[in-house]
Amino acid sequence: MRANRSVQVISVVVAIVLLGGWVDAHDEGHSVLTLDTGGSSGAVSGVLKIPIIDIEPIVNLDANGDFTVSQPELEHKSELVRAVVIDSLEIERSSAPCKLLVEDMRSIQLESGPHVSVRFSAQCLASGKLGVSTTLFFGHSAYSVLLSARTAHGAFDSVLTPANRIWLEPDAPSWWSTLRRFVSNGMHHVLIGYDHIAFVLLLLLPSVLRPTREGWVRVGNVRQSMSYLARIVTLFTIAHSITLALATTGLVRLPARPIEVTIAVSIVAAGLVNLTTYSARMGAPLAFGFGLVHGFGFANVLVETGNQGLRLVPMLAGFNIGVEVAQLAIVFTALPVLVATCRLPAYSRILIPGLSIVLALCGAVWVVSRW
Amino acid sequence: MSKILLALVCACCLSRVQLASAHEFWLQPSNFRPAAGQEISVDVSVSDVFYPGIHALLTDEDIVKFVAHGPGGQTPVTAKVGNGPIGKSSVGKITLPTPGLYILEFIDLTRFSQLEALTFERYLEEKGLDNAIAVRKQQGESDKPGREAWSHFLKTIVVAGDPGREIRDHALGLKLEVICDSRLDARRRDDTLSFKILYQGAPLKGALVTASRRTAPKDKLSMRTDANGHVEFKLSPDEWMIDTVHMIAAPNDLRATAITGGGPQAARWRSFWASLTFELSPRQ
Repeated sequence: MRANRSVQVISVVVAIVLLGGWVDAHDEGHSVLTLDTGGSSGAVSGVLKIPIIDIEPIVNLDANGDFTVSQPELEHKSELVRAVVIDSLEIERSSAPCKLLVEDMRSIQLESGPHVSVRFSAQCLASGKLGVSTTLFFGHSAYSVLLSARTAHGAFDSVLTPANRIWLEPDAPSWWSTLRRFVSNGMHHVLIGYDHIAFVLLLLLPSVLRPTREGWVRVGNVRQSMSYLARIVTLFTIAHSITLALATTGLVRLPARPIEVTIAVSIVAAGLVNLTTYSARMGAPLAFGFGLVHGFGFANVLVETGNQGLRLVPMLAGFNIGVEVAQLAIVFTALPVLVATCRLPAYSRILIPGLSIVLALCGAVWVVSRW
Repeated sequence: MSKILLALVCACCLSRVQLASAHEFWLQPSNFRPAAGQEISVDVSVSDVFYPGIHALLTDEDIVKFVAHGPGGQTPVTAKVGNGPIGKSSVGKITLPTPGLYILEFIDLTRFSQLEALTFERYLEEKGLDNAIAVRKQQGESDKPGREAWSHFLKTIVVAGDPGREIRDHALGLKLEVICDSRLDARRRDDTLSFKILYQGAPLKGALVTASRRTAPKDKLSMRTDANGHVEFKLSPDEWMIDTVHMIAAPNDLRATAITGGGPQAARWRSFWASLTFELSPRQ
């Protein structure tokens, strides 16, 4: 009996250690690049907004150590910031490289913090399709550059990452092309985003059990578990859709911080609910709520691109679909393991409460740190 | 049940060690074993993992010291980025005139940054700065942004031609310094190398030291220094970076500097970043 208990304890510890790094939620970092070919004689104008926190390790901007970067401080290092932009950004038109000229740079404050806003022009061929390539990732493998381009052929949106750093203008604006780019971004967001994985696992844990007056008992067959999870995933999707509609029509705009805090609170709630048999009933509303607030979170990031209305739809939809796909991947990976292990008495007595407490604690840490 | 809860807490703590967020800084020569008389470039590289990095862009005023210690004494490393074609040149260039061992040393000006509470805590955890974590927790600052003054003390070992003697690192007297105590030549496969961490010339106990290799930079080896400031790693032939960070409460003069700088905030923490890069060649 003592040996069994030890095995259970060790199993739980190993499981949690393997989950590694969960106390930290994702903080990928992103810059925003907007391009406009509306100028005459082939001129392309652009604005690049870079968070100061990202450029600071490369260029020492805060000369007087007051933890802000003033306009004179930025101008003092303008040559180096210019070098960062010129070095990391290549624009071409009809496959011919454009010459970039930095015209102006400003220290600005955005919702997500202080930024350097660099306005530039690119001397290109008079017509043709644009191409953008960037290495502006500041040495971070999870960094991204959100791209919005307005050309004679329409308005385009994309996301550039170290793994996918080139954008070539399609024949015409294509929701499908934008959506595809953001699907992969959404998947990436989940797979490095511990709060998502934590939340999905919290919903998964009781899915192989059903509550009775005596406590948890194993669900009769896998189909019942699948049915429960399908309901959860559907509600999650509906919630995302509602958020998407609110964000794209501009009916609701929420600041980033309360949303991040709410996401963390939902993880605490899901963890605590799992300690009781109520989790069988609460999974659906929690999934709905989590889906809702998360959609808002990403909408706030996209607002920095300056896009509005319908143009946000394929970006938001792609991102949310990517989130769904990645979460389904987690579900299908974890479910067979849960089905196999739920036969053990320790599953309902130790694993569910143990993991739920740990994840709820992680959620609590996120709540405090995001407050 | 109490044992289980204890185990859960331990597991949670262990899981915190695996975070990765802070930047690494190191000196990256274009060639660790150039011929005597050959010019090499040396970047101050930045990335979230050792190699590949991007160049830090520095002006003369950002650099306190950038020199090579070689057989002929101390030589300045010149042609910083501000003097070369903007953005396209490496930070420094130097010709190593005679065969021998050269230790390149780089110190930059103190820099200031403020990180959100979560990011700052994550960085403290990753770098093993438990003292700062404990103080922040004790003083109720864990959920507050971290305001920090920081600077780098970087070294790299370059061997020009046939050095004619054993290849050994030695102390340069940096504020925080990584020193390799073992010979860097005539290695066997997977030999254990010993390193010493000195802070203000004295061994630094309990510092988290990390070894990263060029061919698998995410597979880091980590170890805390003993009472003599020593750590040991089994290293196979590759390019390696050994690095550590030490953090103290910001001294009063630094806080005053920040305040007179015009800002409403003062640095709360002062950190020192040290790294040593070198190449371990296969046994000849």
